[in-house]
Amino acid sequence: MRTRTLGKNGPEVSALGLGCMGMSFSYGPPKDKHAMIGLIRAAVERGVTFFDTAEVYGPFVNEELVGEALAPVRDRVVIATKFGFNTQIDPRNVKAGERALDSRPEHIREVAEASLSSCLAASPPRRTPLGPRSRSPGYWPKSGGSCPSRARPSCAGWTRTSAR
Amino acid sequence: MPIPGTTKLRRLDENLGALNIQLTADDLRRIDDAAAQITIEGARYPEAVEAMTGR
Repeated sequence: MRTRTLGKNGPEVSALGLGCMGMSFSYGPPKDKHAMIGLIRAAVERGVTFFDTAEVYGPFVNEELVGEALAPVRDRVVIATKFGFNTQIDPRNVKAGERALDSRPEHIREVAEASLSSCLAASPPRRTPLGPRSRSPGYWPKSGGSCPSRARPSCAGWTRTSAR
Repeated sequence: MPIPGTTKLRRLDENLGALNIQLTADDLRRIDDAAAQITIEGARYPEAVEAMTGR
């Protein structure tokens, strides 16, 4: 497997990564969890060491899937994740004073910690450090009427999901 | 950093197969020429999501 270096001094990862979003989110209903764990591990067997997820994919469940799949090889792989959305707010209906994007350092710190525990734990912690917020459903567009199917075929599949 | 997503093993293998392909300057020129023929339609995101991008 050829490798690439992330950034100037970042970790060395496989030249091709695996995007995991569609396993849980955006491209229709979530796929079978055990099958997706098998797929992620098959990628590892083929030399893939870079995996992409995000807090909003699910929300939460994709990070947990990736974390569970990679827990046995956690010292050999790199996971990229992203955060900064307020997953409690429906971006189609943002009320005055609400922040759909939440870039406050304390929020980023909190969700980064939660992402780390989701991605690193062998048995997913169900994000208990976050308290009640994390157990409430997150809201996402179900079917964007304005979704340009050619430009972004995925968004029509966004759906409301529950964090566990 | 390419991160093609898939939920199917055969697609994963297809994607990894791309690592064995070396495109020539001529290949790249022909791809660019073909892509230039395509009229881009639609927006990057649905309106509500676009509004969250800060642009």
